[in-house]
Amino acid sequence: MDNELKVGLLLWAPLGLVFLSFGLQFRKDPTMQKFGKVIGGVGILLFSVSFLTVPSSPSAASSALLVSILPSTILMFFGLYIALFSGDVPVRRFSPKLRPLGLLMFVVGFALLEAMHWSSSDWLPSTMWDGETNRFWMIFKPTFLLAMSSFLLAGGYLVNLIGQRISQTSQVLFLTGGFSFVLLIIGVLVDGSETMSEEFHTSVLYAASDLLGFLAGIGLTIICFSLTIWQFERRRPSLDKLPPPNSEQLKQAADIIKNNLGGEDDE
Amino acid sequence: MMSNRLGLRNLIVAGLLFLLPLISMIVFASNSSYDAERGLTRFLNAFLTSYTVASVFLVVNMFRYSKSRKEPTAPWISMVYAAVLGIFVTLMLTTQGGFLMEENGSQRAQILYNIIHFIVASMAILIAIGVMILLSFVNLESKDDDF
Repeated sequence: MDNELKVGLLLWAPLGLVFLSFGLQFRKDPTMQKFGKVIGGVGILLFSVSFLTVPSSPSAASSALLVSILPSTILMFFGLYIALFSGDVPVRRFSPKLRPLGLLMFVVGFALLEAMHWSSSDWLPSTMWDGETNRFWMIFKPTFLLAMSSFLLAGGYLVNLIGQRISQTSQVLFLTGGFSFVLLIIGVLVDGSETMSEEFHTSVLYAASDLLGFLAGIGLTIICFSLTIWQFERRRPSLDKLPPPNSEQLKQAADIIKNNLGGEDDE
Repeated sequence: MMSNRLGLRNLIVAGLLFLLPLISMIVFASNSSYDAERGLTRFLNAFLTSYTVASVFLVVNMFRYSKSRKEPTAPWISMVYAAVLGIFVTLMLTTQGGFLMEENGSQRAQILYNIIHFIVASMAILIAIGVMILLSFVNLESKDDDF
C-alpha cells in the first residue's frame, strides 16, 4: 500500500473519527450519541497505535507521546476522582479511608510525568522517538508546566475571592501552582537526562507563544460568536414584557420540575 | 471567607499572576536560543488553528441554539461572521511574511503539523485545567463547618 494512503487510513482517518464523535455528541438522538462514542473510542485506539502501524510518519511521534503520558495522566485524574468522591460530599462513592490513596495516586502520577524528564530509566515511559527526544514531548511538557503554573496561581487567587466552603482550596492551588513553577525554573537551569536546560528553556518560550496564541484564538472566537448571539438576543422582548405562560407551557415546566425533584438519581 | 464581586483590580492581579511564570521565563531568556521570529510564527499558527477549531465547534453549537431559540438563520450568520473574520485575519497575518512555515517542507505538511501541534498543546492545557478544577473540588469543606 502506498505510504501516504497508509498514513491517511491509519493516522488521519482515526483522528477524523474522534472529531466526528465530538460532533455526534451534540445530536439529540441517543443512538447517534452512542454511535459517536463507539467511533470515538475506535478512533482514539487506532490513533494511539499509529506509532506502531505507521512509524514512518513524523506525526506518529504524537501517538507515541500520547501512550507515554497515559499512565501518569490516568494516575493523576483517577487519584483526584477517588479523593473527590471519598471526601465530605453528599454524593460520596468511596470510603473516606481511600482519600489518602487518591491523593497519593495524584502525587505519584505527577512525579512520574516529572521523572520522565529527569531520568531515562527503562522502567519509565520513554520520551524518545526515532533516536532523539520526541519533538511533541518538547511541546507537551513545557506547555503543561507553564499552564499548570499560570492557571493554578491565577485560580488560587480568584477562588479565594469568589469561593465558599473552600478555605483550603486557595492554598492548595497556590502550593501546586508554585511547585509547578519551581519545577519549570529547575528545568531551565538544570540539564535533564535527554534534554539540555538551554533547549528546554527555548521550548518553554515557544510554549508560551503557543499558549498565548491558543488563548487569543479562542478569545477571538468567543467574541465573534458572543456578538452574533447578542445580535439575536437584543431583538427579544425583555422579561417583563413577555405574555404570561399558557397552560401548555405551565404543564411543561411542571413536568421538568417533577422530573428533577427527589435527588435519588442525581449526582 | 470573602465572597466579594470581582473588581477590575482583582482581574488585573489574577492576570499578572497568570503571566508571572511566563514573564519570569522571559527574564531568564538570555540563556536560551529563542528566535523571536519563530516564536511569532508559533503564536500565529496556534492562534489561527485554535480560532478555526473553536469556530467549527461553536458553529455546531449554534445549530442547537437556533433550534432552542427558534432563530433558523443564527448558524448561517455566525458562520459568515466567523469565516469573514477568519479570512481577514489570515490574509492580514500571512501577507506580513508569506505562509506561516516552520520546519516543514510544504504547506500541506505545515497544516497537518499545525493540527497535531494543536492537539498536543490542547492536551497539555486541558490536563492542567482538569487538575485545577478537580483540586478545587477535592478541597470542598462540609456545609456544617463553621467559618
